[in-house]
This record gives sequence, structure tokens and C-alpha cells, in this order.
Amino acid sequence: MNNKLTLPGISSLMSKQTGLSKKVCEDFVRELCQEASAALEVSETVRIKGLGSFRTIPVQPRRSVDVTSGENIEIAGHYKVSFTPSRDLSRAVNAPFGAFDTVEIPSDLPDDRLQESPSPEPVETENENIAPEETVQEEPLQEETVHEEPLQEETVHEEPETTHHHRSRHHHGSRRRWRFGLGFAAGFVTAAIIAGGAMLYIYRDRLIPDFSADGLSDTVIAEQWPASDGADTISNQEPGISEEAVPTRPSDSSGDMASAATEAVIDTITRTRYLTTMAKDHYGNFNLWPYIYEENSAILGHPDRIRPGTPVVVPPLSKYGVDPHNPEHIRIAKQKGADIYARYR
Amino acid sequence: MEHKSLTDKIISTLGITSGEAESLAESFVSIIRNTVSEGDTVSLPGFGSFEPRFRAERVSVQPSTGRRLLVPPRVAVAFRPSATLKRRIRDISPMNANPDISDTSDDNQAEPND
Repeated sequence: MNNKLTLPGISSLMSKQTGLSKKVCEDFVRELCQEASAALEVSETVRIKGLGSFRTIPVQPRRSVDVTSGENIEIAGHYKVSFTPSRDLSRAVNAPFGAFDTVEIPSDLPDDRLQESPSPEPVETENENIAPEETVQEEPLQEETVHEEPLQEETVHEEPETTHHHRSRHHHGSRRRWRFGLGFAAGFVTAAIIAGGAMLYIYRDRLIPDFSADGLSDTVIAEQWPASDGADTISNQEPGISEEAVPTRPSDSSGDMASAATEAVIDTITRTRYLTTMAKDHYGNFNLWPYIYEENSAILGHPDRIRPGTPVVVPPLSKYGVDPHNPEHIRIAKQKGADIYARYR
Repeated sequence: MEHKSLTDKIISTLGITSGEAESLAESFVSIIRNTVSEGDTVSLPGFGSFEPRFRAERVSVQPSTGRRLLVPPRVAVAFRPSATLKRRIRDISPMNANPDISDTSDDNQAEPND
């Protein structure tokens, strides 16, 4: 794409195709251009089979403005070269769009409908494949937007239905082809929203407690986790508690705070105690450190450059619905860790 | 100048056979076609360059009937003449033979339009 093929390139390709020497091929092209230019000079039409025709067309003199001085000038009449590609060439170059035809727009179709259009399947599938990674990256962002959360929840429920309408209309409609171009961009965005919405919907249980706790600023968090909890409190009961705690959270945010406060632990980074050490102590698996990091992402920078003495909140694993014995969850945690490092690359 | 007379001239200048000239011409055209189809530009020194140009889809209205037509997007081949060719065409053309502009406008009347 966007490369330039020049005479040496053309002649070597021609030499490969025809078996003649590069020199002959180069001379041929030079001679062809020379002859064509000479013919154009005497206002002759030059036609090359399979390529198209060149001719000179007159340009009338016209008035214009000199951009530097601002004076009115007259551009003298002259001739210019016009090229009309042959049908073969046009078709070959236009092959990606060759399937489209000009269609009449029904007179009852409102203008805004021209903007909104369904997306083609290939784009959809691509986006769905990408979706999991996207949403993983989106999580920290969503954690910050606490107040918008109720709105997002609503859209999650609406989206799948409306898009299904679009799709079915799309499949049955004969307008599919001509709307492809317009629909491409709209479809891309729609697919991204669907994928994001679906992920939100699937993980809402996991995300909602997040929002309620993480939306508060650091100072608020610090007040809420009393130091009396101590660094040594190890919350091993968490997996058991999670089933009871999670369903109550979305409905009652104050109760959520209270229950979270009893489970969360404050620990302090030292020269020998890192996020991984804490994850190993509290969760039993050092790979789960990203959850501690995310809980404290507002005060932490690069995970390897945390100042010793920094107090961090160690959230209960149930808050994220993570089971330390589930290899899949460990894999997700590793991915999260990689994402965190990727932010500082 | 038709294709045949063009190749005949090249044959006489280069001293190649008509079969060779024909295969060279075919290969030349196919290289341009393939390169431009891939979105690349073919540049011929002293002559010009062939490049693909994307034309976005648009809604056209027939003024007589008021019908609206959606014209699909397409990729068109464009030829951009080199500065040398432009100059040669401009200088040689009968319109510019007379440097006086007021006369050239008269010449234009005499020129067959297109």
C-alpha cells in the first residue's frame, strides 16, 4: 500500500514475466513513454490496449488571484493531458467495490436513516474476538466513573435487543450492499459497544462492588479501613463469604461498604514486602497481585517502584469474584498484570 | 495514435520482434494494473504516474425527477502527468503559441472544445 513502483522495478518485473533482458524492458518503457509524449504534443490521442487512452484537452483562460500578492491575474489558456482508463483496468482496480451498484433511495426514507446502518458480519466477528482484551483494559476506566454506572447498566440491557433488530433487518434487506460503506463505521462502533456492553453485563456482579468502593477517593478509603484491622489479618474465609456478600451489594451500597470493610486488610509495602508477597500471604497465590494494585491504583504508579512505607488496601478476593484455586482466574490475573505493566511501557 | 501504430514505432526503433513487443506491452499493462490494484503508485519518468484514488460514496440527486441515488464508493485510476510532459503539452499547444492573452481567448473560440 502506498508504495511507488519506478522504472527499475517495472523493468525487472517485466523481465521476469517476458524472459527478456532488463535492458530491453527498460528501453521499451522509455520508448513507449517517449512516443506517447510525442503524439500528445501534436494533440493526437494515444490509446494503449488494456491501459486506456490519453489525449490533450484545452483549458480556457481564467481569472485568478495571486496568493502571494493578492493581485488579480489571468491564467492563460493551455492544454492539459486527460487520461481515460480502459474498462479492464477500471474494473481490476475497483474490484473491492465492484459488487456495489448505484441504487435509488426511497423517497420516504428520512435523511437520518442514511447515517444509521447495520454492520457487516466480518467486522462483527473481528470485534468480538478482540473484545475480551479491550474490556480488561477498560476496567480501570470504568472503576473511576462511579456516578455514570447506573446509566451504563441501562444501556447494557437495551443494546442487545436493538442491535438484533438491526441485524435481522440487515439480513433480509436487499439494501445491504449499498449501505456497506455508510454502515462500516457505524457498525464498528456498534459492535464495540455490544461487546463492551456484553462484558459489562457478564461481569456486572464483579464490577458493581468495584464501583461502589473504588469510586471513593484515597482519603475516603483510608478513613474507611481502620488501622485497627492490622496488617496481619488474613482473610481466608473470603471465598465462603463471597456468595452471600455479592448479591446484597448492588441493592444496598451502605451495607456493601460495611461488609467490605470487615474483609479488607491494610498492609504496608516495605523493602522486602511487595504486592506479590502480600498476594501470596493473603490470597495464597502471588499471581493475584493485580487485584491489590487495582484496588490502590489511585495512589500507585509503576508496580515495581512503590515507595516502601506505602499503606495499601488488600481487598477481599470475593470482591472480584476470584477463586485462587481456579487456573482460569490465575490466567486472567496474569493478563491483568501484563496490562498494568503495559501502561508504563 | 492507436496501440498498433505505437508498438510498430517501438519495434522499428528498438529492433525487437512484434511478438516480443506484444508480450512486453501486455506485461507492462498488467504490471500497472496489479500495482494500482494493490493501492500503489506506478511512476514513469518523464511521462507521469498512475495512482489509485478513492472516491467516497455519495448521494446524487437527479435534478429533473428529484430522485435520490446512492452512488457506491469506488477506486478510480488517476494519471498525474509529470512536470516535463505538462510543460511540453502546454508549450507546444497552439493556444499558447501567441503570448498575447486577448488573442488566445479568440483562439479558444476556434478550438474544437474537447
